[in-house]
Amino acid sequence: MGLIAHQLEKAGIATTAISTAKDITESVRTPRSVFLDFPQGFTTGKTGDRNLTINIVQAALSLLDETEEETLTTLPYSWGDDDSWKDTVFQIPESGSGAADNRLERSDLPQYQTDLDMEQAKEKHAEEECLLCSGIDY
Amino acid sequence: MEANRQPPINYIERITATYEALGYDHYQWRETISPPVFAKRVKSVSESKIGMIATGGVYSSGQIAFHYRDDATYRAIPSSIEASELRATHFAYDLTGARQDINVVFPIEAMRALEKEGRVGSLAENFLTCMGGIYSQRRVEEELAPKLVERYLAEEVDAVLLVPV
Repeated sequence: MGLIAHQLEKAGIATTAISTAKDITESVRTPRSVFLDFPQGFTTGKTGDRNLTINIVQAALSLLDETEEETLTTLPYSWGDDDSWKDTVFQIPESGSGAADNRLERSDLPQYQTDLDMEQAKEKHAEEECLLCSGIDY
Repeated sequence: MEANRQPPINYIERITATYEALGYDHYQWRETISPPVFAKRVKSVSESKIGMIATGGVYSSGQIAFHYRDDATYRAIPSSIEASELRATHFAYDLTGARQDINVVFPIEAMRALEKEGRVGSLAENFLTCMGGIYSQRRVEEELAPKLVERYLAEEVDAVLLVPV
């Protein structure tokens, strides 16, 4: 995301980011960011908590008005009553423990959430040129 | 009893160690040495047209889904779309939350609420989505990022909210 931020800023479009990975954001140096100490996959809040998401987004957007210096502000929200969720994230496997890569297989076929999505996409694109090849799909 | 509070996770250290232990080649993390460039801000957020770029693999029903091998394409998603039309697909994060409520990786309803309250001037016609975890930094730099910039220059967007996963 850092590369995208830098190219947007150079083109005259200002950016502000929400990060759940403080060290990565510090390393890529996005110009303005808020840090939310939540697990990966919950960059903008908790399911069903609309007010929390609005507050997080508003905090990030307000940096656009408030600062023209490199900024990484920590937001005052916690994921739970304690931080024990961090104990199991990218646990360093002991050598010989039979650790496995738990990410999904790197296939170059579209990966649909549901079969119905696949059917709808196929139907919609049946008689068109390959929009995917141009990187744009409406 | 004191709550178990821990400092932020050191992802770079943990991920590097994990994949070294799994026998993968060393991943070259992006490190930016020089200070970031800042676009000149002329308008306040309440007067600006605001876009959003999210890397959580979000697409809408009817669109071709992303694939999992360095997919450097993007999808344009109308900012007026119903949240129920949105889907998430990704190889590297737990999709449970995103599939239950897309707003945790793509805060489209919050953006509309802020526009309605007048805290955001207007929203871009489209929000843009792509995949995170693209292994090739060259492809992000030379293919994906320029396309996103071109799109938002064409939509005359003033500022962008970035939502990585």
